[in-house]
This record gives sequence, structure tokens and C-alpha cells, in this order.
Amino acid sequence: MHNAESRTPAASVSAVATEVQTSPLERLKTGYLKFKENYVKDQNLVSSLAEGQAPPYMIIACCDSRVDPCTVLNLPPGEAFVLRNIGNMVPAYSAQSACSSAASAIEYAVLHLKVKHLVVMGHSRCGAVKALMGIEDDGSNRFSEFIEDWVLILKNASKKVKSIHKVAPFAEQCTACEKEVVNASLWNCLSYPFVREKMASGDLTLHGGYYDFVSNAFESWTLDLSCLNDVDKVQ
Amino acid sequence: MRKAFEEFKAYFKKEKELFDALAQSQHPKWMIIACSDSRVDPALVLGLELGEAFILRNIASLIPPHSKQSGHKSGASAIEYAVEHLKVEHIMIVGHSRCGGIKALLEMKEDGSNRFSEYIEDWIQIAQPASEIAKAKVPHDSPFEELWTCCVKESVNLSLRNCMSYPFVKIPMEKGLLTLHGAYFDFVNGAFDVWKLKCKIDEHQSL
Repeated sequence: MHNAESRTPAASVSAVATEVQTSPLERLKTGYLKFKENYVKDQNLVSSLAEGQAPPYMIIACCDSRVDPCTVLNLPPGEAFVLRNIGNMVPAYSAQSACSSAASAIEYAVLHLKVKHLVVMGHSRCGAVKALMGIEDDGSNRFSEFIEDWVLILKNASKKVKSIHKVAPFAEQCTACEKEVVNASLWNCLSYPFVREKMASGDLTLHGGYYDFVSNAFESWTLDLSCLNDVDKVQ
Repeated sequence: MRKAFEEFKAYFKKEKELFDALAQSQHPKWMIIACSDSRVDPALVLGLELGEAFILRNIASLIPPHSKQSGHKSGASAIEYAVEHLKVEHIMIVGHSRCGGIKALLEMKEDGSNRFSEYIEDWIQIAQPASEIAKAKVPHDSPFEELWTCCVKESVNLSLRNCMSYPFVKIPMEKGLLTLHGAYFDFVNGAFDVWKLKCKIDEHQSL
């Protein structure tokens, strides 16, 4: 590292559950030095990544600190182009979507990096989904400046869950919505013409994933191409 | 994906106490804003354990300025959630070497005649002021790599200033409850530089 701080020996990382006495920046320094030590062992990887990236995956995941996709799926540098936002949500294609982080990232991944797999990964105990499910129809319990407007891009997912699981406890409805949000986001990915074209030509597969850190399980499913026939009917 | 998760699952079982706590709630001290680039996953690069950092990722780790105009607010909503609800103590924005988004920004013609995408230019335009600063700072005859590096760092600084335009960021910063950091990860030369954004308004003096 090129800075003026004195070096400390790389220490093993403490679990979050125990008190971490190291200062915040010292903590990052320790982590970086350990990464660097391992990374430079594979000089072929280092030189190839310095020149460019060719990740086979694009993963859309939540910002939640508990669900880093490269950690959970053990993906080394260069494997996955990753978009993260609250609730792992993808807005539908719109000609007016200027300045959309999701649209620009998906376009770059699919057309320029030519990823082979696009994965939307949801997870248990998602705060964004809980916020979505808790929004009153009349907006009377609004609590934020931006959060509600963001999560409401997938309000149809919460409507669907509330009608199917009318009598279920709120926590169960949220779990169902976490998975519905993944499907709704995948459906919205399909609304981008460049995604549909790549799927139709067999160059891109769409997958849903659900990481349940309560029971330590990971489900995944692949989007069936036959649904492409229905896409034009949706609009 | 299944095979990779199996390896993680074994680690999960080993760290049961950690994961039982995380299942209940998250209390990350950090929010990190990083590029979507596959080479710069901040959890990998900084050796972060699950639960330590709330992470937003988009092309070129950009944060637009506070605005009431309609439009998707993925960055604003994430920062609001991190600061107001998770009460993170630090926000770090990480730029990196060989950033494709910043390269596209530098190559954009003013008249839009070399537009190549539907969405990418509109997104990357957020960093236009950084491109202007970098072009003014770096001598015209310098190698492109120098301009590129400078623009990435100026883009990080721009996004940090844009973060500060959100009242829910500015207020805790002024109270000393939230610190903003910039960072540049150079995977070509193997370096990770960090710096703080300081915002100090001196005591008022009567004339």
C-alpha cells in the first residue's frame, strides 16, 4: 500500500459478533494486505485482469451486508459483474429511463462484456422488501425521502403476494415477496430488447437465486425460454 | 452456483455464532460504494466478513446529486437506508484503475456524435464535471492512462461531494457521526489509496 501509515502485521479477522478494537481504516488495511498476499500468487490472473475483464456472470444482488454475492458464491475477481441496490430490484425497460444504474449496467454487461448468465439474487430478511410490503395504499405511513419511491417500482410483486397469501403472517408474506421480487426483476430484465435478443440467440441465460441465511440454504432456478413467447403480449 | 454455495455452507456452519447474530439483524459500520467491475468486489479486496459493509455497486461507483426530480433513485435510497436506518459510521466511495465507465466518459464527444449505447452514456454523464476537471489538470500531451487515472479520482471526489448534498448525510457529518472517504484501487500496480473528505465550517466571527 502506498501511504505514510506504519505497517501492522496482517492479523486474522475477528467475527462481527465479537468486539473489534481495531480502528476502521486499520481494519480495511489488514483485509487488503491479506487479499494482496493471496492475489499476487496467481500472476497469470493478475496480468490478465489488468488488461481487461470477461466475467461469465452478471449478478444483481441486494446491498445488505449479509449477502455479498462473491462471498456467498465463492467467486474470485474477474468472475462476476455485480450490480447492487436495495432489494435487488430491476425497473422495467422505459425509453424515459435516462440515468438508470440498472439499465446501464445490464446493457454494458450483456452487449459489451457479453456475459453468459444473468442472475438476480434475493435473500431472507430483506429490509427493502419489508418496507415495500409495509407501505399503506394511501401512502399515509411514508417514512423516507427516497426509499418508498425506489421499492415501489416493484409494487406489483407486493400486490400479488398480498392477494395470494391473504391470511399468512406478515413474515411469511415477506418471504414470499422476496422470491416474487426476484421473479419480477427477471421479468423486467426481459423487457429490455437487448436481453431478449441475446436469450433468443442462446447467448444469455437468466437465473433467479434466493439466499436464505436463516436456514443456510441457496435455491436457484433458470428462466424457461418458452416464456419469451409471452413477453410481447405483456406490453 | 450450487457447488460454490456448498463450500460457503461449510464456512457458514463453522461460524454459527456469527451467522445466528446476522440472521437477526445487520449492523454494518461501513457503507461502500464501488464499481460493478468484476475485478473490484470490495468485500473480496478489503477482506470484509459478511455483516461488515452495506455495499452499493453501479458503473463507475457514481452518486448523482440530491434532486427532487423524478427518476430512479437507486443510489439515494441506498444511502438514505444506510445512514438513517442502519446508522453506518463511514461511507467509502471506491474508484479503480482501468475503469471502462470513466474511459467511455472521457471519449464522449460533446455533440454526441459517437454515442454507442442506449443507457450507458446517460448514466456516466453524472461524472461529466469530473471529466472537465481532469482535462484541465492533466497536460494535453500526457499519456491517456494519466488522464484516465486522474478522472477516476476526480469522479470519486465528485460523488463524495454529491453524497454531501443529501441532508441526511450532511447533518451527521457535521455532528461527527459520519465520515466520508474516497479510495482508489489500482489493481495494475497493486495499491489501495484512501483519503477523507473533510468539511469544516469555521466558527462565525463578528466583524
